[in-house]
Amino acid sequence: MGEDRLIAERRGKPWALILRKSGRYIALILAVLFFLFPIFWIAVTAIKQPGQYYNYPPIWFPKRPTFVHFKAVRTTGIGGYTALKNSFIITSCSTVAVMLLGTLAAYAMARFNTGGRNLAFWVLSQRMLPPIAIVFPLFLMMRIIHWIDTYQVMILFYTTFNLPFVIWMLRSYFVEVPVDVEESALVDGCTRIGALFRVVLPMVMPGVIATAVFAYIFAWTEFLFAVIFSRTRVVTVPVALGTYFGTEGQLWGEAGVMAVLSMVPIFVIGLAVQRHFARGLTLGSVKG
Amino acid sequence: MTAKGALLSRTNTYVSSPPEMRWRAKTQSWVRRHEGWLMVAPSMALMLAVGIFPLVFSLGISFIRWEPKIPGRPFVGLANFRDILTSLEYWIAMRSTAIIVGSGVTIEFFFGLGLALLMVGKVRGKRYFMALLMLPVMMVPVVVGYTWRILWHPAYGPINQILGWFVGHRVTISWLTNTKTALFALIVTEFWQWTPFMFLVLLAGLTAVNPELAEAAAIDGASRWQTFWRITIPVIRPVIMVAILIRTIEALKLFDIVFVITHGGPGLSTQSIAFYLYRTGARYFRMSHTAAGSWVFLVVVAVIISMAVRQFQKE
Amino acid sequence: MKKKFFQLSTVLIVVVLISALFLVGGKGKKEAPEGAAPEETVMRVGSQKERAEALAKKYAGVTVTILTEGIAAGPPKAFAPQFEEATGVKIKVIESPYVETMSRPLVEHEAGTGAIDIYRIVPDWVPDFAAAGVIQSIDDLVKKYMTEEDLADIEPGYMLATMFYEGEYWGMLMDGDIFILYYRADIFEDPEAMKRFKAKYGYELAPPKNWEQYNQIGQFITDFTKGKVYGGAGNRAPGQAYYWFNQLFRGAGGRFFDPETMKPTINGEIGRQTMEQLVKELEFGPPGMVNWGTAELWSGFVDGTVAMQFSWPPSGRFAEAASGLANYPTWLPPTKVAGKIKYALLPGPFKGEGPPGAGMMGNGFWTLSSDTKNREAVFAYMMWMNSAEMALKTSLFPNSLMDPYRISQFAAPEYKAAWPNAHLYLETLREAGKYALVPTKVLGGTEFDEIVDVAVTSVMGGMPIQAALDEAAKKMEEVVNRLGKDRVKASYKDLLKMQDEIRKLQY
Repeated sequence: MGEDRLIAERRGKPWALILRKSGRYIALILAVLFFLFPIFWIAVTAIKQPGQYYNYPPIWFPKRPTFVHFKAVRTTGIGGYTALKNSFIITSCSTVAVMLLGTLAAYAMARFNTGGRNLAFWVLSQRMLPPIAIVFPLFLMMRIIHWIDTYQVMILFYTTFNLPFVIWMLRSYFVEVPVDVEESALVDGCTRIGALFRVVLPMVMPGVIATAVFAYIFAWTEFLFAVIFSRTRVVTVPVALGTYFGTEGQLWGEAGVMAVLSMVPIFVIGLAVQRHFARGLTLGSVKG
Repeated sequence: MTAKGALLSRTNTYVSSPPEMRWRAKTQSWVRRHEGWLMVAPSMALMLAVGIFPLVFSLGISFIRWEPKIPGRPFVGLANFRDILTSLEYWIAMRSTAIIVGSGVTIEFFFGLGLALLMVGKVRGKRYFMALLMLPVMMVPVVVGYTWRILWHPAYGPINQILGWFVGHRVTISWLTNTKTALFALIVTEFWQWTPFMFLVLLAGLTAVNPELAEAAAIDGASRWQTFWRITIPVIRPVIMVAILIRTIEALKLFDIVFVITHGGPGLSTQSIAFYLYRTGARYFRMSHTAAGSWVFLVVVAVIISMAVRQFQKE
Repeated sequence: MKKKFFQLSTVLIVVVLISALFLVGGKGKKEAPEGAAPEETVMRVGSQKERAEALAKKYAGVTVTILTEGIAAGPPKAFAPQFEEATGVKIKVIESPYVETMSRPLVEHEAGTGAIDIYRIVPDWVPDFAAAGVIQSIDDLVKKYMTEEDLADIEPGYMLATMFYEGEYWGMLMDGDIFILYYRADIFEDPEAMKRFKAKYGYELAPPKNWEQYNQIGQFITDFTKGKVYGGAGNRAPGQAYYWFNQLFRGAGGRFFDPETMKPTINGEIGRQTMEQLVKELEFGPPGMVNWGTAELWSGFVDGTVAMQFSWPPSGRFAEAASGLANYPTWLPPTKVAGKIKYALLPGPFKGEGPPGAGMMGNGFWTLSSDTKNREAVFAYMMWMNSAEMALKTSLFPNSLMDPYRISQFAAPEYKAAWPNAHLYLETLREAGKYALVPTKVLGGTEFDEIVDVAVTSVMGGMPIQAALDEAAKKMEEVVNRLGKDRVKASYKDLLKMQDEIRKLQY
């Protein structure tokens, strides 16, 4: 903001400043409206009276909202709250695991160019084959070690599937960081890993956070493997939601509730990590 | 580690030291020489362990005819690949996928970048804006699909209603029963769900840019535009490249919203490759055909991506 | 580096070749493992339910696992404790999205897990699953443990249409999903409406005898109520549209193939008329009907917006919000048409006279997995749920989507008392059995149904009718050739044979 003022003042056009400022907020608000509208829609669906889903004209907000679906979710299908618990366990564990492994690998590939272009491309190529092609062989593998319908198998898969993404994202953020700071840390007696965690990571915190958030999201919303590898014990939210929409009926209310509940964790996390994105003109941590 | 120890380990004291220290120094130096590979090893091991068998398996079965409804699993050489390459349906699906992904990712990128630029620096209520803007990506694809299906509904959906307000009379566009509008609807839905991804990733990249660079440029008389183009963009180039690359690769596997919103329809005109493969594999049990189709897709994607990567890395 | 890649690729090629060889070996149809029951005289006394319990008691401690669509899981879950208590056999219910009930069985079978004992599928999938070795025939078990009376209680039309394949019993019918017409009697019996209709068309306003009448009535009602109530509606959304096509097509005598040459005949006269009818209905149907699925259809019906509709039987029940059938589905609007609905058989021909048609569409059907380790225990459970008492309980279960298929259910006093016109409902459903249309129960059935579905949505999307049908015929021919003409022909002839058997019921 300060630079705006600088420039505006320099050029003697104070109104440009106001325009730019309000323009920014208007644009942001419009964007938020657009991105929130469907979420608003599904959230309202959770409290609509039964049968208010197909209306002409469409109902934007029920006159008498009801919370009956919140209770219904517990007993519908596999149990919405159980599914939330399962999803939470699986997603959290796999996100921690993938961030650990991915950070190490990304750092090596960014700093030492380990494996060069070939390794980088190979990592990326892991995600290019359509999942349907590997479902059955993986099922065979997991059957042999009796891991079907267990937490381990889901955590294993989500960690593995997210690795290419995490590695590539972190690598790009690491590359942004100039080498000098690390070098000085190393000279001061830090180990490589120490330098990584204590010096480099804090500098790319926004990138790390963003990556972790998306690793979390990808694991949370994954459907195909969740439905094939779970039977009754590790049913996750996407699978539970899948069972709400059937041939002779669609449980909109319950779906709305689950959709809203499943967004709460990430919303909370999102709010919590804001500070890492608060970098302004005031202070850059990279000094000489 | 003490300073002395560090100094010792970094300098070559191999010749004049006792055996344990020599062994330790040897190990440490080996570790240091291979630290890159050691750091990469766990990830590689995991990806190999989980990935190699399925890869080999799926490639293997693409050379036979494995279809449970038909007895026998004869070796058929390249017949499956030939079927795929000559299948009009497959290439129409490829085209639909390309249209949706191409348009989708492009607009996602520009809007995501725009949003990120709006949010750099001090913005009032930033934390709420950010948290709210992240919500679309958080929604489970099935729910995204069903919600947008209602939104696009000609009679029960608010989109036509809102359009009607602007136009002045009732709008009854049946979005999903016409190929062009259905593709448009899918693109919009994709865009809605994934722009926040671009936004956050690019914002993270922008935030890491040393603000002093921009300051210095401003002081030197550069306009915002020039600063943006000459300084900001080049610095976040790697992030941009990765964001687009990752998003494209994921988007190419587009399945859930196609399944729920249009079901490939009308007819099979909005079918994505993943949807096609799902139908032939999970519904028709044509395992080998699906494997062959997956591998053809993989090759196409790999070629395009490697060309793109090479392009990016050239400069 | 180069050397490493060279080595790696050599290893890769070797592994590919080895796995290819491994798979070429092939796996034949799995032989069903023999049940472990000791030689005993089979109990012949007592009701089906009691005998099932006696059989199951022999296997106390065993767990029976069933894979079912989420929405239909209510009854198995609800009655599991009762079964466990009576027999000691535990029931585990795996709920799954509908589409997974098709692909999951194959994955489990090919991986040889033996983890699931019962697959709740639809009869259409039986030939495909049987060919793939996923399920096994229950013929010997039925003949051993069920009596003539047990089987005679199942409405013959329903049984012939669904339970047989290649002359054997392949599964237990659990759900009498048959298409009949539900119409607004209050409009049909409105004196003003009757007068004006007779004046315009020259015949009495009554449930249509052919599709031309259906159109006339539909258009009339839309005009008469000035658009407040639409004459008729049906599903056109992808995924279920083919049921509506099949109802019209098969009801009018249409055949997918010529039984001798196996050449598709879907693009002939009857196919064309079917498509035209599907398009025509949009004229007097509600706006946006071209997007309608079951949720919109039933919502529109109970809301009073639609005067005639044909689909699954729960729509009739829910329209009455009958208090004997507690809990109303949460996604349906409160019914405004309770007490105003009557029922009729669906027209068969497009014009003129002919027998009605009642499609058996997507019946909940329990089949026995080939990999099950406890054939008899599992069969006992199937027999138990299929018994007259349990079938009645299941169909009266709150929110149940299970519909009657046993004569005892159609005649049950509790059911008849559920709402004033319930007896008419049950009579019509039972009568419909005589005109039951066998579902697409052939080898490749899933593919043919989907080809039809695609044709319908293509037409809805603007493709010319003949072009869409020709395309469908071409695709069907490809499927037939791919799966083996003789094999498909044999299963198709089987279907036609069952259809003929059902036709005999009409006399």
